Amino acid sequence: MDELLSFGSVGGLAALLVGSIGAWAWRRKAQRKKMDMGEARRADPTIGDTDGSVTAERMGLAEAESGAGGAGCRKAKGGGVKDAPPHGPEAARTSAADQMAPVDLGEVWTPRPQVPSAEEEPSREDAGERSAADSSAVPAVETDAPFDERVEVAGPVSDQRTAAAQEEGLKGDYAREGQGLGPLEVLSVEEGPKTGQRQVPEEFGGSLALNAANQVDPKEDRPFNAVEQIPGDQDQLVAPQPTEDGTGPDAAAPLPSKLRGSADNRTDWMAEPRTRPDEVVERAADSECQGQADPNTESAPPERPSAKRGDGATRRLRRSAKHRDRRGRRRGAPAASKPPENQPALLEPALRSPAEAKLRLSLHPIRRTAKLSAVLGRPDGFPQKIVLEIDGSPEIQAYDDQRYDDLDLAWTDELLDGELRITSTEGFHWLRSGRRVHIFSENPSEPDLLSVGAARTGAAHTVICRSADARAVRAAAESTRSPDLESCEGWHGIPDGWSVLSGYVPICSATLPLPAALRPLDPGSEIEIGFEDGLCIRNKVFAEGHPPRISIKPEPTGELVTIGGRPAKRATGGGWKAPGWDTPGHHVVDVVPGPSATYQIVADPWRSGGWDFWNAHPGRFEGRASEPCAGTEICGASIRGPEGQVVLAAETRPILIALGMRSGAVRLRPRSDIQFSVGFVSEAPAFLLRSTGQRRTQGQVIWLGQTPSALARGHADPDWVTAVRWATVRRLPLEDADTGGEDAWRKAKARARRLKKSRR
Amino acid sequence: MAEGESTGAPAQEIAQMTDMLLEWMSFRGMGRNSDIPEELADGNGARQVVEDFSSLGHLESLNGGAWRVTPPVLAGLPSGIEGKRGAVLCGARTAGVLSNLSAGCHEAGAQLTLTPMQGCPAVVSVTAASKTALAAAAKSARLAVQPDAAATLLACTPAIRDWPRTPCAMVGGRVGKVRRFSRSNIDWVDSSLAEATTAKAGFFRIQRDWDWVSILKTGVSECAYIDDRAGRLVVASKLRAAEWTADSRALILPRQLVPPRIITRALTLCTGVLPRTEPANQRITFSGITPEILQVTLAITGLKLA
Repeated sequence: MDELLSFGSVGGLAALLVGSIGAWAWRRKAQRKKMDMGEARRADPTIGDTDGSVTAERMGLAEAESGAGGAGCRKAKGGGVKDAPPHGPEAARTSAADQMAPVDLGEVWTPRPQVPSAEEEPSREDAGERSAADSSAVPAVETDAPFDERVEVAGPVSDQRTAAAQEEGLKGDYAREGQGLGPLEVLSVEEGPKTGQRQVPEEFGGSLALNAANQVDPKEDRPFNAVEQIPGDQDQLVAPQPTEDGTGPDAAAPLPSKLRGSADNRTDWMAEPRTRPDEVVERAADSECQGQADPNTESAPPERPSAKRGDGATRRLRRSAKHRDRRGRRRGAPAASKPPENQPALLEPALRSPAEAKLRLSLHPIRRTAKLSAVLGRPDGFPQKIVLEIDGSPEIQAYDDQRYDDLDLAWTDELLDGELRITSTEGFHWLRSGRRVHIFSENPSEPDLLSVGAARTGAAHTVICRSADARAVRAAAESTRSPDLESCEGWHGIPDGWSVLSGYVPICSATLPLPAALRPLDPGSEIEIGFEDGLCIRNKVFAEGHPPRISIKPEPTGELVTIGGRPAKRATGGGWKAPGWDTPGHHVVDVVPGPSATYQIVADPWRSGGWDFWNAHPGRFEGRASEPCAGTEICGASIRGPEGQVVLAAETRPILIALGMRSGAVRLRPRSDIQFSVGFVSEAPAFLLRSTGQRRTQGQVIWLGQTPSALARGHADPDWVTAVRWATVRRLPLEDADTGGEDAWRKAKARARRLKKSRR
Repeated sequence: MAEGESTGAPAQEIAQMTDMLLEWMSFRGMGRNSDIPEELADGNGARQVVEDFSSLGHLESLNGGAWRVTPPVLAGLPSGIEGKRGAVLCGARTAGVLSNLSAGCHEAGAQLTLTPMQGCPAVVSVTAASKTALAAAAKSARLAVQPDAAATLLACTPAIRDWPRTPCAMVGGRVGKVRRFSRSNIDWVDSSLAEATTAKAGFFRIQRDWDWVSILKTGVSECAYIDDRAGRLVVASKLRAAEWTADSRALILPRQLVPPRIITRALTLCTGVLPRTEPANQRITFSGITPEILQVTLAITGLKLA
């Protein structure tokens, strides 16, 4: 009995305990549910699940943009940006509430990956690991941008890259791209098999990595997955990919902090200067128009996501883009310009002074590669196509009127030590003088970085120098109050012993005198270059024959002054001159160290085809279009017919005929209002037959003195024969004729007689 | 290049400036009146510069206060001037044009003369012994020749009575000044909007809030916009206001009856020199007008010899 009592008491206690625990748990659960529901309702009724994903049903359109990045959650349709749903532990607490949260199909919220702050953001090397580890908790991403606007550039991904990504355990964009998926996809999610908990399928686990790849550098405003060029395959459009040795975006090498970012991708793309959204769209549109699809997705036509297709199947947006190689090789054929007839004879190529050769520095922040190419200038007279006297004898075509296509250079240890000389088989030369530091800067009209003579205040530069000089360069940069330089250490393509220092933005002149070799780093902002006198057509554009007087104030003391790359000297008039400084073309006045300025000498329009004729007085004869004078066109002192004919006018006579030298007879038609007649002659007439009657004294043949070059037509003109014979028979006098005119009339009469006999 | 006449240092300097202005325009091609550099206009207003250069055939005045340079051409002078065949260079003028013309004249045996003018570019004239030599010089210089430019221009110009006009409604509402061109006074006289509205005929200039308009009335309810110079000549039709003497070959017109631009250009191209204005008697004189040119000018303008 005692045992029964004790058992019963124990059991009762246990039951009470269980009941208490159950009640406590129920109350706790109920409270939490209430609280979470309230939070969820306050936040959004359609907040995603623990993993941040949502079902296709709840997503409505079920569209997600892989390019979204940054913290926060954005409405897919309407609404503004709100706070992000909780992730991680907090997300786990809200999962139950999420399941009970009311679903509002009309207002879809999609969570976005929560990107840590700059301090806690994992580096790119962790992206793959994080993608794999958090694949079950990776939120789907979506933006509020309409799908049509969410066009990204997707390109082929090499198998090697795919393999590398798979080896890294990535399930992100690269892995999907390897399967033929572009970086921008419509993600669909599936329900969990048992619990009903919404899970992101494993194949979409890489969305976070994808987002990371799409993150935009807030400083450079450049999306990481922007179109990049692959050396040797510039026509191909590729997304960022790991390099062959795995030093790509997902490789172990840490990414510089400046390349990480969490800003809103779309917003940054709008501010991105090098690959603008509209440019991307334009590229995609071009690709669509031209049918140049991504090779990986070529088999399937571009598919447009539809809101009705929420079947859970993965949909892809295949919008490949056509990449225009602005360095060349993809340029449009330059318009064939007709060489002016009166252009002075060109110098022999060997006698020409060397043209300028610049360097283009391509820094690939994802692949961490650096590459140099030569940009050969194309002054006037240089041919459309050249063959260089280097290994392989590459044939280089003109990119435009200013330069040729790029010539890729093998960046060896000695390449930048001395001067760079390039010669073509045609005898043309290009020269880049040797220097100790090579400064590069962005050019608005050129991709990548182009070499410049000296640094400019406020502009960002990249410096290439010997590693031994890096310290001095940093000191010089500090002297100009530039931000700290960032070194591209370990980047591929940079030979040993050389350093590439980026981020040089001089704010002022160097406070300390720099060594001569480093003076190009000094912006020398106190020096001003002026252009005085001359015939200024427009701002800094001067007429040929009236060049400006170039002044440099204050007087350079020790600085090197060049004009067009040639050393300049002070002339007697006070201006600075250099060989060829006043020839037509663009010229650069460069003070090293110091500023540079450009000016242009415009060639005489007479040499380039002159000025166009146009009808400056149309509509003079309203309602009298039938009269010949109504069709004439007047421009200044020139009068032409409607088809460019010669206009001949004379006082009206009963017989008024313009005659050519060997053929052609045009009767002049009288005006109805005044006693003047007008006729159009396609070729310059030689004679004007004028008569008021049948008598000899009533008519004349007037020598017009036109050059007969275009008059000689082979066929016999019966009208001309008749008119000449009529004048000959009546022995009309020849007036205003010199010796040449008399001879011409004699020949005309003989020809008319001969032709008349032959007709008989 | 033959040496030109010189009328003193200041005139030479002014001529250089206007020559420079023509060269500037030639390089520029086209522009607005406000683009003309003041230092090159030498005190003349931009509008006056464009007017003078247009009369000389160097440029065309466009609507909206713009201008455009015309291609260079050798405008043939009327036959019989000094017993030789001559032409003046019109249109764009640069060093290249002049050097080519100089070489062409040298090759063809023609004489190139550069005469500095005050307030306008120097007159570049080519004189040859015959039409053949003149044509050869032009061909060598790769310049077009417009034979007898004055007569041809006039032959291709509508008569004043047929001058283009745009029918319009009479100005109503609040206006500023209203002026009427008086046929008897050959000048503008004050008028009113009521007079302009009820008049059966006349030429009125009415100041609106923002501009002036020139309205030609040919009936009580028939109004038309017309070129201001043409409108005045319409009013002065058959008026004996022109003077011409065979000896001087000078056509003298009242200053208020200066013909429209094309006609003025044609008369100017009889010599290549701008007409001379006499402020004292408010008359303007065109030189080198041959009887043939006079006849067609009177026929077009509707004026008669006094």
